[in-house]
Amino acid sequence: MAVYKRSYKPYEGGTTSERWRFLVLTRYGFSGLFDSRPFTGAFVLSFVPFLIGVAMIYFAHSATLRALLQVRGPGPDTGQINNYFFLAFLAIQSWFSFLLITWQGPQLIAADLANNALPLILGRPISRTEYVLGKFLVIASLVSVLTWIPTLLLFFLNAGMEGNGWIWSHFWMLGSILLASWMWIAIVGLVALAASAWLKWRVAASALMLAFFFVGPGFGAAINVTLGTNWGHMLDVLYAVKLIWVGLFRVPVSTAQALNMLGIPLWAAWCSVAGTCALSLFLLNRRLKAREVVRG
Amino acid sequence: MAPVIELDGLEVRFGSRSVLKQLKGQLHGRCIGLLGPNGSGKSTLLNTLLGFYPPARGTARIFGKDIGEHSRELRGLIGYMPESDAFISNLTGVRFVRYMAELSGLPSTHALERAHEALFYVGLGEVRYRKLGTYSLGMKQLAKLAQAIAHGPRLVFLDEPTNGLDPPARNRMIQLIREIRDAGNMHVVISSHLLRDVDECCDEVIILRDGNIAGICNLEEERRLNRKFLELETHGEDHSFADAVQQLGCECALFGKGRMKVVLPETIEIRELYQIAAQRDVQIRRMNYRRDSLEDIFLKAMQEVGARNGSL
Amino acid sequence: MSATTGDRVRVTGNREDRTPSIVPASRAQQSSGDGRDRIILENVSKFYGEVLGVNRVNLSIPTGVTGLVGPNGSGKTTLMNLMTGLIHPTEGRVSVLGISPTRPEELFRRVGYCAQFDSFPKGATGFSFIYNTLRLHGLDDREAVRLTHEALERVGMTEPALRKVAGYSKGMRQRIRLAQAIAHHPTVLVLDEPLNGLDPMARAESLELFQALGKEGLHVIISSHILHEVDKMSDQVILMSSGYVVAEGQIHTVRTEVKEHPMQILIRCSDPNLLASRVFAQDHVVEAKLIDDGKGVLVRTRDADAFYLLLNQLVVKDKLALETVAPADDDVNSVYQYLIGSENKTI
Repeated sequence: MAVYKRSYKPYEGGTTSERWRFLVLTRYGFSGLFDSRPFTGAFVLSFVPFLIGVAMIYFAHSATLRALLQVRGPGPDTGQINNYFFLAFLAIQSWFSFLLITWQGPQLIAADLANNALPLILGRPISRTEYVLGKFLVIASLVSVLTWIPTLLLFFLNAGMEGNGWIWSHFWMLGSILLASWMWIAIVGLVALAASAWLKWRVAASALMLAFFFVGPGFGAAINVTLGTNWGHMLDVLYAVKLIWVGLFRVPVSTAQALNMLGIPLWAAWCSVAGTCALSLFLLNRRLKAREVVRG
Repeated sequence: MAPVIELDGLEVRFGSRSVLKQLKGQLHGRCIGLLGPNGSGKSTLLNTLLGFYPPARGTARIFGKDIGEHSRELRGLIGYMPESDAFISNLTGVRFVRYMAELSGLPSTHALERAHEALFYVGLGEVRYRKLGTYSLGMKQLAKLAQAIAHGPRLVFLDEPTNGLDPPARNRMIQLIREIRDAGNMHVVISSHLLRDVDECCDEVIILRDGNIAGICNLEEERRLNRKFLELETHGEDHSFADAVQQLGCECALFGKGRMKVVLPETIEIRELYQIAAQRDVQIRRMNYRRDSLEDIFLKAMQEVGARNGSL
Repeated sequence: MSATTGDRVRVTGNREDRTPSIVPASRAQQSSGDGRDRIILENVSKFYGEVLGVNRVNLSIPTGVTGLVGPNGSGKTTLMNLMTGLIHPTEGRVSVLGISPTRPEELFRRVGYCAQFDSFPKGATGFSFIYNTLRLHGLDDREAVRLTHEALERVGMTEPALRKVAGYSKGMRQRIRLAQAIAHHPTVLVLDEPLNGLDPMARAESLELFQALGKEGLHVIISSHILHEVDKMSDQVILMSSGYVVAEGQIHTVRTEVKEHPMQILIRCSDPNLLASRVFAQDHVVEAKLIDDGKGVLVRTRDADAFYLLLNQLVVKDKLALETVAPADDDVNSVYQYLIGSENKTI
């Protein structure tokens, strides 16, 4: 028989690869996310448009179905799977993702800041960049699963159903889908992280995000009206995004103009987007410090 | 023996103000105390060694590795227990410690094993599945300690580890620190204002003042020297006792409530003091040889570096 | 003379030194009229809904420094809040220097409270914080400025006073709060862990300050976890646990009262066997244990006074060479362990 005394033992095992260690942050970032039932429910619901999209594609390619339901022939508004279809789908999905990220995104960093756990994390072999990257990947993964992944699936499904040539003539759309999605991911992700770094209380951080996306346009509209220009739209990053997407998906100029989607030139819209990302990164840099120095 | 921490002209500035002024020194101890008045640069030194502040000039080495060049590697070898609250409130104890251990490089399963071990070791075994937000102050302190040691670092920085703990919890913490120091090959650096805690755990201290090193002192050696002073606590007519002792030829200083310090010259034995006590029906309730306690060392270090600054 | 009530120990008068002792409330009222010089709690209980703050507390606190000791959650903060009139008891009566806490304008003038909370108005400087509090007391500008300077000097914070509190270190903030508590020259000073965050020199200075204030005739009540400091500065102590007052009075006397635990005294000497055999001959010695390294004896005795006098004789007559004499449990720490320590295993 032996008596084992419990005492401190040093660690003598291997360590994980340093390069991918920031993924630990991503893993743990996900863990708390789906504990909330409403969130999980909303997440699942956001796949409904995908299912509808699949149904529409089948519908468009099935003459029998159409005859059954006595729908008119193909046209720009009904039944045809074209650039409007994908643009609309992506837009809907981007709204869902916006809702979800505004809801749960801020908790990613706010939880670490609320009780001063950041020095513990930064005192380990993790740099600030890796920290932000790890957290960003959580948002990026979530939004990817909602945006470009299902869009691409629909694209390939349609390509499969259309048959010859369709995919080559619409090959440009692959790039557009990816660029549009990643631009959206960057904006939503960075703004969410910046808001959660700036306000430790996650409810307030969510409110800040909403304010950024919706109050800004209010000012923009005010500027437009009082100064009689269109440049106020630069403050409305959602508008800028829409504008860029409209261009990416090659919506004809006439339609765009009819929808008032040409208020500012394209480069200005890109500036607006880039500015938002830069501002967020700046705020993150200011806020994520292991130690604050208060000067007298 | 290679130094644990070596300071090589380390200078740290905040804006134009020089907070650490070209520190030079070597620390070898198993358990090192970091002492100094408020504003001496103690926390700044700690934070610089952890890699949170960059040196303006000069450098420091931990286990021979430069803190600038090998910052990342060092952070894997170091554990840190901050002074203020540090936790993530909606994680359970186990989850939190495991998370921290994984960030330090442990593989997931090992991290889980070590997390449980660490939490049991510090005494949080029963509450490890509860969320950190529900822990009491003492439990949070112990959780901080658990995350500092779980990944088996070679050097642990403890910043005011007994802060806010009630006496039983403090005793427990001191005991843990001593065990950690003695087991394994871990070195400990304790920064504290409570000299008694430092005295009980540390074998070497570095004292800072105004951004300079006021002294590096090996406590083990100090404790072996200096047996000429006696510390007494009497009960009875302490004044007349003290007078009689002084008449014998010993220096004697009274501190109220029967406490006094006596310098015994070579020629006089303790028995003579007891004779005086017996004559006057005075009880000698406490008697021990006094070695220069940490308090004296500290005060001396403060005084040597010019006149005392008073505030701050 | 003493009276024990159930598991609580009370100690009463008859002491050699001049500091008055804590006596049961009823007796205090008989001896000093209406208790104008004491803080009296008579059968006080405080509940927060179902949660117990303190239960059936009876205290009569004289001038001088009183140490308040106990684990976290034992009711110390509740007790202090009751004394300063910030909360009212659910049962019982509180009287501070004859003033009831139902008359706050009068009470707050005589009471200073330095709580544990470390918050300040935004943008305040050290000076403005104290100054504004004094103005709230109704003092005019001149008086307030003068008293502010005085308070700052007393805690040694004159130099950084005009800087913002947000930039202070923890110890500096502690000192400013202390200054604010003493600025209006209160007669009762209640301090919750006032040494928290102070460096060793500041601690020593603060201890001196408290002792000086105690001698000036103030009632200084200090709560602390650092028991050797409580030992050093207090004239009397109150020990609390789980909402009850477990003991009160001077430490030596409280210790003698705790009869279940005979006094333990550690003696290191040249001939432990001789010492052991000699002390065994005494009635009051309960146990004599040779300590681990064989160079001393741990004696447990019911009568410490008799033992020490005996020791004198042994050294003189039997030529016993002593190295160390140390009471192993005659301080706040040990009393704490005996009366409180065993109850609270959890952290």
